[in-house]
Amino acid sequence: MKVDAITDELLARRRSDWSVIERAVRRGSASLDGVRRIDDERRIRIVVHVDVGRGRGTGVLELTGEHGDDARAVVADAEQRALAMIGPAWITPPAAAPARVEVEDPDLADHELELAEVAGRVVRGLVGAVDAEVGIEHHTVRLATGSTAGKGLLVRWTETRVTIRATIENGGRTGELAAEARRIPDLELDDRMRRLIVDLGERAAAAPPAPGTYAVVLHAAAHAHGGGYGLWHALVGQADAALVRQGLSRYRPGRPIVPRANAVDEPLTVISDGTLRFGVRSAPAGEAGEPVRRWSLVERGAALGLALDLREAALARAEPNGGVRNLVVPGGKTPLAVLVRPTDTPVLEVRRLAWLDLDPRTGLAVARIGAGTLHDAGGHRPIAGGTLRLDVIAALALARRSKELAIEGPIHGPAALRLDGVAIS
Amino acid sequence: VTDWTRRDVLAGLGVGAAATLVATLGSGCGGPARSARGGGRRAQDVVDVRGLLHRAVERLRGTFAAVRAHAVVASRVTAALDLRGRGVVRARHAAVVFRLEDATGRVVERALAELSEDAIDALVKDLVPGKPAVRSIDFGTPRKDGPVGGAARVLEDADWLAVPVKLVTEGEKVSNSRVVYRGAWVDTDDATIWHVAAAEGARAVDREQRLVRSRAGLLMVSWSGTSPTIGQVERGAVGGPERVVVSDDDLNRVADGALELTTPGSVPAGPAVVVLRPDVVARIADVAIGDLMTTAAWRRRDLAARAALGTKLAAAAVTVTSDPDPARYGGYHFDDEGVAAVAAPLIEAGVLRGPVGAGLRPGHTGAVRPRIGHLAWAPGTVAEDDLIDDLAEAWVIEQAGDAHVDPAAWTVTIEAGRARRVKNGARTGHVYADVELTAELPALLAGVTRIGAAVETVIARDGDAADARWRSVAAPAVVSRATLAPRRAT
Repeated sequence: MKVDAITDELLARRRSDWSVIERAVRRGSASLDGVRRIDDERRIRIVVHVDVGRGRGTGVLELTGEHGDDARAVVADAEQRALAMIGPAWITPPAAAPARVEVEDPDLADHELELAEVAGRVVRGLVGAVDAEVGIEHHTVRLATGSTAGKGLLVRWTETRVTIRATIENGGRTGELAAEARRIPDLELDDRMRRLIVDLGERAAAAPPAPGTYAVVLHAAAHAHGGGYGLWHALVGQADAALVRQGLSRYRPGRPIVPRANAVDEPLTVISDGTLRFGVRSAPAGEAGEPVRRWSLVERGAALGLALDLREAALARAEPNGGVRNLVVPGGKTPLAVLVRPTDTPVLEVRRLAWLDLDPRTGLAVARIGAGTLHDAGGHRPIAGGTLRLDVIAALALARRSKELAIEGPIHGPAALRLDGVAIS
Repeated sequence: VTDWTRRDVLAGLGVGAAATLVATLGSGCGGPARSARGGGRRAQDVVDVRGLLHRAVERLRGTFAAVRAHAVVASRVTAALDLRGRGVVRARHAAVVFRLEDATGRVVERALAELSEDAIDALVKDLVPGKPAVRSIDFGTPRKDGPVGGAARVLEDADWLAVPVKLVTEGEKVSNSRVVYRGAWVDTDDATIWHVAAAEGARAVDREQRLVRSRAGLLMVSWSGTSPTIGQVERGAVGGPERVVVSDDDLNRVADGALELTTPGSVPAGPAVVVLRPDVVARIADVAIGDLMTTAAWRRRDLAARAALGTKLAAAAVTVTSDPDPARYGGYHFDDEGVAAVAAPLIEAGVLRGPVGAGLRPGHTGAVRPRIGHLAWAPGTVAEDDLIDDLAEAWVIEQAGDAHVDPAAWTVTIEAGRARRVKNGARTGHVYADVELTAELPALLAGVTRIGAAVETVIARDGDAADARWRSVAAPAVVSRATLAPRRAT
């Protein structure tokens, strides 16, 4: 199926506002058993918005190689889907200029045909790995939009993505390594390996903390656990415009995200920035052609912006912003070394979580400690195990943030957060 | 409520399967049933897949010492119904992966997310530039394994919708007006898989299997104070939707889950004797045995050090087997490396026999990993009503939710909807909602004192098309010891 044929058909019909995004992906991967793999995939996604007397319908069609070559039939199918999904009317916001952002590692682009071999070299560098997979993707993206008003957008870009999942063994103990970046050096593998080896070394003497209430210091690998937004996903979930519009969010724009959130010494500010150079969630434009912008979810403790796709932006009479992308969280004034100092309560310094179970709707989370250190009057001792229970929105709003900064996947924020009064069981 | 919101809200409530339900219904829906179909012609309609693979393997075999081609053409139909509407979604997926081994033993895989002659031709040319030395191969008579339970019938939208309509109707009979949300779904995967292989000094392989798997479920939600309470059941079967049995007991369990008034307060935290209902046992077995007692996970020395092969890991009554019988939801005739399905014990009369692992690929053509398709926990002899006999203090744990495992500590944590108090061999009537159970798996297995005679099968389907994974666990109720805690955060 040729994308040009689809866009020509959409332009000729002039029955809808539409977007077509074509993503040609080559993924090279390597695993510890020596197998090299190359996946080739071409994804085409068509979105059409059809206006009828009673409102607007949106049809989404993901094309695969299984679809025929008849562009007319494909477009008709997408329109049919739209007509089956009529909702309230809205008008597509005007097309806006794409963001200028670098998301392709030129070194990897030069090696497009050898991605699996490059991934293999990364695997071979993982000393002590008992299981590993490294994947390197190169995407060639072409996005076109159009409208019955005749205005449209055509954007092309290329991007790279590197992911690693490994189990590393040291001294008979194992731990997980997971990271994602646009460029191999941004994985900071040496640093991650060093930290993991230290944790594994300490595990021999580690014990679960006694149940009770602690001040908890979460390092970046813990608060951004899992390669995604980690604990910050609670705020991402709350900033959903559809939820807010329907009164289903705890988040109320203009109001503190929890009581006293704007009255603490260092009120929380969280910015979504999809224009960060080599940010893992950066992109010139959204998948439906919406502009990607820098905007604030939370400013000095108060809810501010919402994730606005084309539809939600139109309903809110605002500019679309491309949704939540990389999160930028300014650091605080306190050095990490001071945050971990015990005061009247012992401090649990958590360097990594074993798992995190977060409900983004309620903001409540349960997590198990993977590795850390207990600081109390008796000194320091390694810990592993123990379960944290948190109202994450309150915890993040009232947390003290380290002066030092770190990047963990899409989170560009403090190297550590100190949360007081956390129940551990 | 929009599609995304409803899906995530329900998922946030712990209603995993509702994602399928609302994804089907789409946004802004309502009114009459509608159908959304993938366009175009199906690969198997226009391409002789076997012939395509034969020709590609013959061309590649001239260069590579061993060549395997593994292809899938799959269709999926999901029909769902809730208060806001009803819908039927049909999707198709085709893909192929070639596994190529050269004379030095170096292995390369090339995968395509389509199954057309042109695409495969281009891939072969890329792998073997110029004019390849074609090897003529006698593939013999292909072995074809049909779907257990017969092929899925071709159904119209109304026929598909009849399943969730019936479930909702029957659910209404056993519930009341306090239920604020009801939804039901049926979901059928119909996949044909080809495996063609040729290697130096070995007989060529030519196999085909068709796997048809269906699942159906019912969900009810009511409000208890400020919190939603949920009842949900999902059952699966091999074959078409008519093969899925949602029993009257299942319907009553859904209604109880949504409507039962629970005891105020929280379950006391701490170690306790627990009577784990089969759904809880199955979920624990899924994450802590099915995911960890594989040959891949067992490379972790700290995990393997927990129990040496041939030594006692569990109580003598515990036997758990990897049994990919194609009559099971997670079963198959041959795995994604072309190896015939075979049962293998993991734990036999309490003694560790595993780990095991068949070569399974997400969506049948993704990266291969040793995995377990179906786990069978052997039943005991204790009747359901006798499980709590003589227990001085215990808790019956039911309505399994999410489970997590810490592989380094082989510790499992599972959320559950209900904990019912037992004292002196009888239920006291105290029932707490939202509990969390934590146990080291070896201790949980070693502490098993009773095993129920009845077995329930719990199924799971993850992913969409290219990353789909099917699995199932058949498990009885067991009595053991674990640590309980209230689930909700302060």
